[in-house]
Amino acid sequence: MWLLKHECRIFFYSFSVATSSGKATRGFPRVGKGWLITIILMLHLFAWVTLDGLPQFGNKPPAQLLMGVGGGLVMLFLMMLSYALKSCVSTLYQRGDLDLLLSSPLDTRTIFSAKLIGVALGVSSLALAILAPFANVGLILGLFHWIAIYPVVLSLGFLSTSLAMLSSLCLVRIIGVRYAAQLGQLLSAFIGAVVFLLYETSRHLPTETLAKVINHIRPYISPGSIFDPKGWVYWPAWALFGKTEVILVTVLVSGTLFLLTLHFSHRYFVSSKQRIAGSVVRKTHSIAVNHKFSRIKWMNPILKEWRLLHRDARLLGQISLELFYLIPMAFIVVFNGRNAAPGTVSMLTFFTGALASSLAWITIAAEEAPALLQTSPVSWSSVRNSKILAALIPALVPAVITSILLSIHSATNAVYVIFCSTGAGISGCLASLYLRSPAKKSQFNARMSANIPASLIEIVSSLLWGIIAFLLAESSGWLVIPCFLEMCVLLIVIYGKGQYKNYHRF
Amino acid sequence: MASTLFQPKSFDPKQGQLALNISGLCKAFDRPAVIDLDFKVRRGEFYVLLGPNGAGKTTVLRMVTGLLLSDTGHIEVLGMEQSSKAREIKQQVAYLPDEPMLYDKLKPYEYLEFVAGLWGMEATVASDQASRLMNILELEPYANELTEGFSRGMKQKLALAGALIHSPELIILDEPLTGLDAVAARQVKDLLHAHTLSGGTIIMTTHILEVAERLASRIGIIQNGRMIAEGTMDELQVRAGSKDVSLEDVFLALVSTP
Repeated sequence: MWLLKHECRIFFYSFSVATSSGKATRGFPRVGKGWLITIILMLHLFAWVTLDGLPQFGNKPPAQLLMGVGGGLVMLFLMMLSYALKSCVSTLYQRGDLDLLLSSPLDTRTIFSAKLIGVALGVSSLALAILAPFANVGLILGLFHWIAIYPVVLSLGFLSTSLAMLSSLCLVRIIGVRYAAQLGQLLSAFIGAVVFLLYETSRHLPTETLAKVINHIRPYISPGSIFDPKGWVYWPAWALFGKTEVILVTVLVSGTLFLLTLHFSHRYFVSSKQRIAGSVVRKTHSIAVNHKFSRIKWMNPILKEWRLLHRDARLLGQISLELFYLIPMAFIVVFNGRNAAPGTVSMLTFFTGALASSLAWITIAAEEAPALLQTSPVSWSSVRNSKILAALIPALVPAVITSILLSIHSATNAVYVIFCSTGAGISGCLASLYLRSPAKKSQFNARMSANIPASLIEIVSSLLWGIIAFLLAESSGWLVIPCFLEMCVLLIVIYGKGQYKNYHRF
Repeated sequence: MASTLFQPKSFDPKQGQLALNISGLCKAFDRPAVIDLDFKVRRGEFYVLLGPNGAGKTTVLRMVTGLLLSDTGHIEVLGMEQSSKAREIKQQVAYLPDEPMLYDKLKPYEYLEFVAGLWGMEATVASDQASRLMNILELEPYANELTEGFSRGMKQKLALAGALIHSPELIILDEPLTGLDAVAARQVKDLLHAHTLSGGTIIMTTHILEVAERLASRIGIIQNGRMIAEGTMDELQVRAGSKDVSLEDVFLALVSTP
């Protein structure tokens, strides 16, 4: 039990750790606790309003509601699976405490069980943070069947952890620890993008096509079919509406699977860990390496930044997540170019600015060898320009591609995208250059909270450029206002350079 | 083979005979780190700066390389004023800190290509030089691996290759032998020795007194930010009162003197 308590504590600390002014902290700060309590209260209020206004159908919900809840549970399960995958890889392979635990008198099964239960509880707690208010409010309102949320979510948590554990054992063996951890994160982003794409597709499909699609799906959800709302596929949804026998079956199935996973995988895991630990023999290559030195001197530092970026699976995963948000927009442009222009142009500009800021943080703030650059004879301006270009060019690629697609319908809007995206990108890079402090690449996730003023300025700058792009596409006379505000932001950035002296003097 | 690597810049009498000339150097953080430091290093010398932990050795080197600004004092490198000719000085100087300045996700040749580019080397010259260094330092078998997988010794050797690729006049090294095994340490020492034989200058800090005793042409001992003794091994032994004492004895006698 104490090991399980330790695992839960580690989970909580990893979830709430942040860096502030270069100092790592743990637990929620006082301000964060206040916000947390406020959010919890607001969720309960939302649950109250929702449940109070819901017609009382007990544990016999209408078919459409059941299908909606079922679909929501599927999405929830997939999100839990992706988080469980990341947690399993992190807990078992990356945290670095297994050597200590395995060399202790503790039984390996105990260690493995505690870790997995810790992951399952952690994954479940994240879902319960959103759904538990409904159960609590349901209890108060006398709608006791909503209490089923707790066993259902816990069952989904244990089920997702079992599947994630088995997947991670295979994935680590095939693609390695780092890529396996990234897969979990990419999966959750992918799920979000798929949901968005499905929604946008249904909105933009012609009515006849949509009717054809619905007619095509109808046989699969009619009574007696595989996706019949009364069928076993919707059991988790039925459990959520309080059907006792279904709740018991759900808990039994997930519990059994979890125990079987524990029983069969823990030995495999221990032996694979020992194999990894023993395989540190470096392979040497007998084939001579014929590396050609680049003759284009100004590209040299840019190439170096791109090489560092594309070989860092973890960072690449983080950047890919941001790109996922751009894909649906390109999709909208392709299928709905004529009508999508102002909103798409502004969203694309905003995300390009945000992406450029992230890349600039990597190339500038997270420079691994600043002393090498400082002791070299290359000028500061040359280094600065290379680092900005190294961040800006990849950030502009999605904008360029989308503007080519957009130019099919409107060349002017395509120009606006390029112009505003470039402006947003350069502003984001300058904010990183002049306002960010040196950091390590491992702190990428915490970069926003580590320097809140700089993060706010980056976001505001991207937002303003997005508004400029929108107003340009709309040919609006209000353009002057965001342009003026953006100039003020740039002045703040330049003032920040002088005031805080956080910029890097290479 | 190591000696063919170096083509030191031709000696210009107008630049003087000194590789480094420091006078009145002061630097304080929370407490004084360097106090009124004076010393000179002649061209072609292998100068070793010794001192206990916290004596100010690294601070001095960082001020010489321009990574740290001094509070007061005067630094002249290769006859050039540091405050006005920083870029010209950097063109001829290489710095190797105690923690190698490498990029985890680069392969050795990519790292050397980047460093060569920083010093404006021509691609063909840089490529040849990189090849020779990789062979001398026995890093060629690992040319296809990322540096993040290298041992401490391999990282240090690669960093040294990066320092040497542009044939600097002056090499400044901070604890270059720490953590190296005997084979790697011998390779590094041989390379440094070859550099001085070719007319280059080395300024090095180390805790390994045997290395200083064997390689150094002159030794400076710094404590609490001040130079407490300086000279050749013979001169230091005379100061200690006996020709038979080792550098360790001299060092311990000097730093323990109140």
